Amino acid sequence: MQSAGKRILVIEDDQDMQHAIRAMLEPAGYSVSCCSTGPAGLAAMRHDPPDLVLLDIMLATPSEGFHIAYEMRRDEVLRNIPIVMVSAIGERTGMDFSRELGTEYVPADAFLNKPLESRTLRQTIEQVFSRREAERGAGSR
Amino acid sequence: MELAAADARSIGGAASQPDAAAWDHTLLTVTRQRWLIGLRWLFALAASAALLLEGYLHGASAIRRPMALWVVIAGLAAINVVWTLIARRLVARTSQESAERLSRSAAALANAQVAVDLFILTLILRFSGGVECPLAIFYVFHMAIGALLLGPAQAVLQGIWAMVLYAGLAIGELQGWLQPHFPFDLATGTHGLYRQGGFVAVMVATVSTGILGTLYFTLHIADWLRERERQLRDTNTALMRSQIAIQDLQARRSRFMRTAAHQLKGPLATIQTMAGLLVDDNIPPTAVRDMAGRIVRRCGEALVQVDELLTLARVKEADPARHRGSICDAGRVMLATARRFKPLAEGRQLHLQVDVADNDLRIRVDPRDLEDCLGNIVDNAIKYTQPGGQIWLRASIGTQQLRGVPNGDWIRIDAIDTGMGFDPHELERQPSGDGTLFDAFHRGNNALAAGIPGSGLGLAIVQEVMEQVGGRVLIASRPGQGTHVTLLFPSAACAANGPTARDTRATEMQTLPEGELAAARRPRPEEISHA
Repeated sequence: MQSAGKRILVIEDDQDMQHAIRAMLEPAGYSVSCCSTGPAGLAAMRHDPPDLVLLDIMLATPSEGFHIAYEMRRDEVLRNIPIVMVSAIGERTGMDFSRELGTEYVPADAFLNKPLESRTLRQTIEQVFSRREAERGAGSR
Repeated sequence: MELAAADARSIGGAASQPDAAAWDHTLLTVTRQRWLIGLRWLFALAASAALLLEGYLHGASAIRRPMALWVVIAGLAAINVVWTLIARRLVARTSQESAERLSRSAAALANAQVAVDLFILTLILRFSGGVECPLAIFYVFHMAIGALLLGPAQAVLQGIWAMVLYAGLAIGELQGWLQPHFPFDLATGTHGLYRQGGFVAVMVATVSTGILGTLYFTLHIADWLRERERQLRDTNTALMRSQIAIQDLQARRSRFMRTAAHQLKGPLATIQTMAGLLVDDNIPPTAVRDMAGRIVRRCGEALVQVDELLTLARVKEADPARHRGSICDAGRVMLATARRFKPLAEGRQLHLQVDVADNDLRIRVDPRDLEDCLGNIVDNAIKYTQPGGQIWLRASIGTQQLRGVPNGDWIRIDAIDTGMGFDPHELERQPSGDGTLFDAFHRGNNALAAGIPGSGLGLAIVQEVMEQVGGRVLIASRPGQGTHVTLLFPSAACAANGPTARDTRATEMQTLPEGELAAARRPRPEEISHA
């Protein structure tokens, strides 16, 4: 399985959401670790870089997730880690970040809205991994 | 348009109010002076036309109007050009100079114009009949203008100047100092009236009375007009202020609603995620029970948050006067609250102690609101104190010397805990003026870091109630050591006659120095403790 052994770091302040995400991803073969705050997440990443980061946008402040992402992009080691951003604020409130994916403004590989649905989450993560694989393959040739 | 700019300037700050009045007055004066200058052109034109017409009608009459009259009219026109230029310069200076300097310049110009006008009028009279000329009635016209343009004292001085000029002219011709006399009626020549003391005296007296009378009435009217202007301006300012306040209130209200909605959306998104898992996924049975339990808990928390929102809304919308009609015993309510929360405290291994002083602790506050207030304070103390900690609750007479209330007229509720406390920066007011830990939905950093659930509405409710009853709430805290919350209520006796505009400075916060918390816990000698 492609996902075998892939480590995912979840940065999310809601404990129940952490629990739910674990319940969605661990049966799919991923190894999931969770952090409740941005700084803790960054520290964990530097200590042991994960294969993917699932990042909630609204942490201690309403846009802290973006700042974490920018911080990661500035770091030599962390900038290559794929990011999937999660937000409770959807298109209906007028903010559609999915159009700006991959730009400096939204430096993420994918963008998901809460509530999370496990099939969607797993597919999104798989797609992100596949795309990265393809890029690596194309680059090495 | 210039006046509107002045009004906008005056909105900027209460401190600039006298300045705004000065600006308005100056601009008004300058505007009116330009109207006067225009009027003078009209007069010069009319006078010239009258002279020409008269010359034409009289044809080859022997006696003609003196050339001097034409010189005077030409002089009037020339001086008017000078006034025009000066007035234009004044207007150009309005953007650069202080209101006071400009006001003085404008006043000087007005005085100069009126004084010169009076002199020119006297010259015209001199060359067209002296005391025999009915044009003396125009002195009255100039008095009216003076009263509108000048301050009262200056207008009176101009009146005296006018009387001096006319009397000088009359007496000069009477005594023969002013030669020759130019008759008013060209056809029949002079009637010699100007040489008759009695006639001269009557004319001077009549003109003087006219001048004084006009001055009196027009100054009175001008004063009244200025008063009305001032009232209108004040009303305008107040209206604009209200409008700004209303817009601000609406912005705050919609911000509040948006924040409330977001606060509820978070937990609901989590609940739906978990419920979705239960519906879609193959979750092992043991995990199902756990997840269902989490859903139930989160629903409960969301409901508590909604309840608190409703409480806050109820307290905010209710009539503040309702407090005056209810008397509660703060001690009794304190004991009841402590009893209510004792199981919760014991469940968290917290030691809860209550002291109620043996004094008259009656206060004027709606009982439901008092219960909400005390409940929130005690609930916070319990929630944010780690197991093994201590909580002291006390109801007593306050001996604070605080704004506007004499000693001994406060009833004081203290809640002291050994919990996580607030960080110093949270106890400071934000520069923008709002943004304190009393704000709705504000959660303390330490509480968030510890992952303790809460709506962030408790202190908002407390602040609202304390503001309405004219009380105070003080929070002193030290991170890691504890928090001391003090509620001060005006005693029932002293609040009876009150109120009062609500005090929006009812909240105070400070960081406790080392060891203060311990000192606060010791009951003071004048209190008698009840368990």
